Order: sequence, then structure tokens, then C-alpha cells
Amino acid sequence: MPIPLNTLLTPEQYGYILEDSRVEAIVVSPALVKSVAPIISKLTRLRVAIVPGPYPGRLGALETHSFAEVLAQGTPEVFTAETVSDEVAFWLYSSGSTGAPKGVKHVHASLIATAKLYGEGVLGIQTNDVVYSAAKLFFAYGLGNAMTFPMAVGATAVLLPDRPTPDGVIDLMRRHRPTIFYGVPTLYAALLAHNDIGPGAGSDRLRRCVSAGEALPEHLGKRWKDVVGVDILDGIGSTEMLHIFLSNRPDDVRYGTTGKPVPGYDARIVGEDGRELPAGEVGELIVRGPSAGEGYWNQRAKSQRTFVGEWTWTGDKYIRDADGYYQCCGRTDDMFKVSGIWVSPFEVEAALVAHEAVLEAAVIARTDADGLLKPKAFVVLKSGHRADERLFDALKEHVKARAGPWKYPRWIDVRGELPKTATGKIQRFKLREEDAAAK
Amino acid sequence: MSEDFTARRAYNAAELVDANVARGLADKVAFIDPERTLTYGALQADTCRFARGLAALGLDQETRSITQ
Repeated sequence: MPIPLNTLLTPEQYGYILEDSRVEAIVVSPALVKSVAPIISKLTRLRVAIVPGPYPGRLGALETHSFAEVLAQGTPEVFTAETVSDEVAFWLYSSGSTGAPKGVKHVHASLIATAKLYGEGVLGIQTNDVVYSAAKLFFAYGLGNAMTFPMAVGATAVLLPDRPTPDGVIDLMRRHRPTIFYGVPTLYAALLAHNDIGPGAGSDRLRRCVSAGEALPEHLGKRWKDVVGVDILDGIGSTEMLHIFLSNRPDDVRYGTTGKPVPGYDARIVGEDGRELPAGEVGELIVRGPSAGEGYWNQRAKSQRTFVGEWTWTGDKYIRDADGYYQCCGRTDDMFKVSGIWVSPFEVEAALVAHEAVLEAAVIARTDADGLLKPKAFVVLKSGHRADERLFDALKEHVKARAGPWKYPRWIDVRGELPKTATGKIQRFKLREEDAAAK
Repeated sequence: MSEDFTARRAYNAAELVDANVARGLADKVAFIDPERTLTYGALQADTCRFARGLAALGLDQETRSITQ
């Protein structure tokens, strides 16, 4: 039972997951040995370590082997363990944008379901495609992008172990000329700010671009299409659903929305009582489809709240327009009311980043002197723009005009960078904690 | 959608590797990283070697293991 893990976690986080999952063996890159070494002695069930490259010496009290040595012990004749489509094949730990990570159990049949429905059905991936995913294989998004989808059709995936910087991505695009590129909104924004961005983002064969992880602001999609010449298909998936279940399509792109349900999945927007809401009303997005996880490992209450019969509750607030397009309003935990009206941080952020001076923005609720909630913005400016009162006033007016008069940020805090998960999702809860602590 | 992905059946996700070899793509490149390229045929041989190597270490079906 493999459990791929994020390579950017801290020793404490590795300790939590290794203990929670009760793993018996660990396959660890030489570069990460130092991250797990401090916690190994505390893990009573961990027995074996396998490390690629030359024999690294014994890791603590673990039976330690080089990867090559384990391969050499086996023979290459093809055999496949007898399993059933319904049994658990692997786990993925949720990235934990709030709270401790949870192990999601996925069954054998789920991978191919995501490849048939989204990979072939929406992306139209084919044998001669070459794909590059900036999101890595240990994320549900990256696993589908660079393993399941290409393998389902015999295509080729380019893997890059380094952090996907704009320089590194453009270099890879030129060298390997992928036909499909998968990114996240912050990376698309950073690439558009790069001097060398142009048609195909460096690849003369680029035919599809995908974005997930968080909602893609409308202006980013439009600018990418203008500059690079390929539409970005924005979609939403989750660790719990394994991959994208709501998406724009190559022949049906509406920027600023997450599109419509991927055929094979059903979506609903429901109120707190679970009843379906009509178009135009904000509620929680729930989804039904063949790739839902079997549940969380050893988390009965959370499993029952999330995997409700055939339906999975996403924790995302959504609204559906009269034409059936779904629009993201942010995480359920991130929404707040101003003057009795729901404000989606995403809507205010999208307005802020549409301003020429703003590279990235995150919005949270802050209590004002009267004890009322008002939006506060954290922004990263593009180079060449000064943080002064004139700019702040301009940004407030800009948001009033675009998102609504009551939604403008009453406070603007300029930062060098914003806290993000390894997938590039802004961690608003961290900003909320910081803000509460600073008061 | 005519295909029922949830029908209970004998199935192993390793089919994602094996099906490519079965349809004649053993020599096609599956993965490229800065150090090497791996064909579908080599991937199939190595996954089978690795599975047997793990079994020899007492790590069988149902044993949990972490990769990072």
C-alpha cells in the first residue's frame, strides 16, 4: 500500500504522518534523509528503509537497503497481485490547508476512472502527447496529470525534481516541448510576469493548459490566452475525489468560472441543511462520481461528514449561474459577511490582482473598531510599484468598482510574499492567525 | 456515460503499466527526468522486480509504505 508524501514537509509533519499511517517501510530520496532521520527512533512500527543511489549507511535502527539492491533481489517476469477493483490501492494525505493532514484511502478502480473521464474525456490526451505537470506526483492533481493520464494512453511525462520556478519551467518547455502543461494560478501569474514569456510558453507543440488547486482569476486566463495562445482549462478537484470533477472544456471556456461538471460526475450546490439551492445562490459544492475516496484513515467523524453516501462534501462555496457555469466563492471557512452580505475573499482578490500594480493578493475578515467584520487585503506588488497612500486609495476604488462598494479592503498590508501550501494555495488561515496575534 | 467504473471486478491498477506493453508500446518512453528516460517495457520489468524485492523483505500486499 504506497502512500506518496510531499517532499517539502517538516520533520514534525513527517513524524505525524508516519505515526498516523503506521507504515512499515519508507522509500526516501537521499536529499530527504535528513528530514526523517530525527524522528525515526520514535516510530515503533517502521522497520525498513530503502534509499535510491549508493548505500547510505544504516538509518537509525532500520533495516536499510539501496533501491538497486532491492531491484536486484527481484526478477522481471510479469506478475500482478490478484486484487479487486473495490479494494484500497493507495492513500494520499490531504495537504491540510486547515488542521492536521488526513489520509484518504483510494481504491484500485479510481485511477483509471479519472483518466477516462477527465484525462481523455475533457483534456483529450492521446498516445503522442508529452505532458509536464508543475504540480508533483505526490499531489492528487500531479498524480493524475503526470502518471495516470499519460499511462492510460501510453503517452510520455517529463518529471522535474526541482521547485518549478518560472526560469526552470520555461527552460523545460523549450527543451522538452510538452503538448500539455499543468500549473496552478500563482505559477501562471509568475510566468506571465517573466521576460521570456511568449507563444507556447517556449513549447511550439503546446496545445492544452490546465489550472487547478485554487480558482483561476479571469484576467489571468485571458492574458495567458493572449500572450501564450492556448486557453487555460480551469478546473477543481480534490485529494478526496482524486482529480478534477468540475472543469472548463477546450470547446467551452468561460474565464472566471470553473466550468461545468465533468461528464461522469454530478455536482450540486446545497445549503447547510443539505437541500439543493437554485441558480444564483451561494452554498457548499457537493459531488458524486466514481473516483471518490473510500474514507479517511482512522477519522470516523470526519469521514462521515465528508463522504456522505455517494456524495462527497467539498468544503468549497460555489454559485451556479443561469447558464449552468459554476463559480468559486472560496473555502467554506474563508467566507465572511459584511453588512449582512456574504463576501468571498476570492472575488476581492480577483479584483485586486486585476490592478496593474498587484501580483498576488489574499483577503481575510478583520474586526473593525465597532466589532464588525470588514475585508483586509494582503498584497504582493509587481516590481516598480511603490506602496503609498495613493496606491492604496486607487486599489480601494478599483475593488469598489469591480466587486461592489462594501467589499473594498479597509486595510491593505504589503508583503514580499504570501504563505502558501506546497500546491500554491494561499493559506488565508495563517494570515488570520497572524492578524489576530498582532492585535 | 456507458462505462461503469464502480462495477466490482477483478482489477489491479498495475494495468496502467501492463496495458501499454500488451498493446505494443514497450519501447515507448513513459517518463523523462534529468537523469534518465524510462520506457514502458523497462517500467514493467522494474516494477515487477521491485514488487518481488519488497516481498523478499517481508513487505507484502496490505503492508503500508511511504515514498518520498
